[in-house]
Amino acid sequence: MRLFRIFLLHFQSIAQHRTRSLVWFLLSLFNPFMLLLFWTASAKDNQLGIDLTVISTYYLLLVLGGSTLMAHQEEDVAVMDIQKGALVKYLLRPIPYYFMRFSEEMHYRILQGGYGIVAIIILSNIFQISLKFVSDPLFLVLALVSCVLAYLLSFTYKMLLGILAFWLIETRAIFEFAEVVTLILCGFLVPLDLLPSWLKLVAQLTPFPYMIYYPLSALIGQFSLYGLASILAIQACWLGVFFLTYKLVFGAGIKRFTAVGQ
Amino acid sequence: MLLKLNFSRLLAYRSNFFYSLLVSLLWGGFSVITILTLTHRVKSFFGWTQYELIALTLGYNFFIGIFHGLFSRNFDEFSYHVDYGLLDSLLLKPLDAQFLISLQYIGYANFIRSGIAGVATYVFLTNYLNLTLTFGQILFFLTIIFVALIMIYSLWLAVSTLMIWSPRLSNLVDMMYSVSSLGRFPKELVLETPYTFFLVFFPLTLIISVPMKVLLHRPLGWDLALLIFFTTGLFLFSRWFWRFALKSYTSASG
Repeated sequence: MRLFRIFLLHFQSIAQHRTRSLVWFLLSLFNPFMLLLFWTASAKDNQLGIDLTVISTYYLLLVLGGSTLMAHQEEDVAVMDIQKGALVKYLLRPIPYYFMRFSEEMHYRILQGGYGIVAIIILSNIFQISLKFVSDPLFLVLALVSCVLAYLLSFTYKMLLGILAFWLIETRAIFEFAEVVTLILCGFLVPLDLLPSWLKLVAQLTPFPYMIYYPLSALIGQFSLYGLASILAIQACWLGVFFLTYKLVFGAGIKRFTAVGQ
Repeated sequence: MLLKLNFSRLLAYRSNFFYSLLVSLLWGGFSVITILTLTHRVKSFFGWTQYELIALTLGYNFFIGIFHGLFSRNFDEFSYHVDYGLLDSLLLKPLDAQFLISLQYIGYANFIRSGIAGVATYVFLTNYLNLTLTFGQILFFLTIIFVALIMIYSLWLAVSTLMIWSPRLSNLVDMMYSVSSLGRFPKELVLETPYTFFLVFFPLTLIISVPMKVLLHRPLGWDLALLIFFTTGLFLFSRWFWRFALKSYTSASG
């Protein structure tokens, strides 16, 4: 009950900034649509050998996935909590910092996810985009589990990035670098299948496509049961690695925390 | 005077300059990676070859480097000025407030990105596309770039002006960074898709494709006239909108 109350309080807080949140959402809407324009226009001019329905569904789902599956708390963690000392208030509470931050971030994702669903319904109808989704209930459930794991993975990754501020004063360049890597390897730019083969191979060896590309492709129904099971297993492994690393790094970093003047 | 003040700021915060340079080059590199990835599959785009599309991206980096160097930092600070009532001090100065709020801060780091992109564009055009560039063509290119700068400035100003009513919407500026990146593509991107709504972004597709056509020895057609038309329209509108919005400015306690 106490956790539920905290959840509701956070939700009230972000509801105050719903217009700002809408602008963030519109921002996440723009890039997938720009790339969708490129592919649809290219398909008119070239023989691309790609299924436009799959591509259109992928980019529309990217609007939703980008706003719900990708966490963005790293700057708040680094600047507000560590550099300006707001971490103190979390340390004094009986709930671990990781879970408090998780609860705060989740509200933004829920709100933006709401915008995302509305946008997909409106845009697919206005622009007559035919969508392709997985139809088998078992596959759908597994794809949704993959989405949950993807969010946990991206959240833990962003926590790891944020707590680097225990050691670094200037984190902006690292965050921007991480953003660029994320855009390319997660599948924000193009689906992994459209990457040059060497880059696709590099991407598959990293955790990034498991945050966006694989869960979205699973929702489209691109994988067999065995393929889906492998994706879930790899996601769980990466999550385990990230979480353990987070625990170790946070444990070491907190010893350096001086509340103010970091 | 503004240039001198900004240079002193650069010398005082050297590490900030270094990080800004790094970030600016990073995004420049990302735009090149993006076009390389896209043209890996698509070898031509409505008459634009793979190499011409890459040249367009390099030219865009030259252009956007100048724009970010001159204006972006100022738009980043826009909401802060309105929210904390700092616009008061600008309005009381004997210079035009729009000029001051647009050109207070200069991002020298972005000029370096622009310089690198400019050299890369020249080398790419002469070595990979085997084009000969005359002084006259380069001068014409720079003149059109100047017109395009006024257009994109007007667009950013019009959107940022909305923050006079709602200063918390500082992320409108972040959105403009994304929207401007549409300029990397030729106009066919919005003209040849079935989604007619995107025609509203048509002017943006002229900002770099028109000047680059001069360097690529391609016919300009009506594109230059359209660019001038949209630039004039947007500039007049943004000026009017700024003055109109100032009537609603209520300082910090508003």
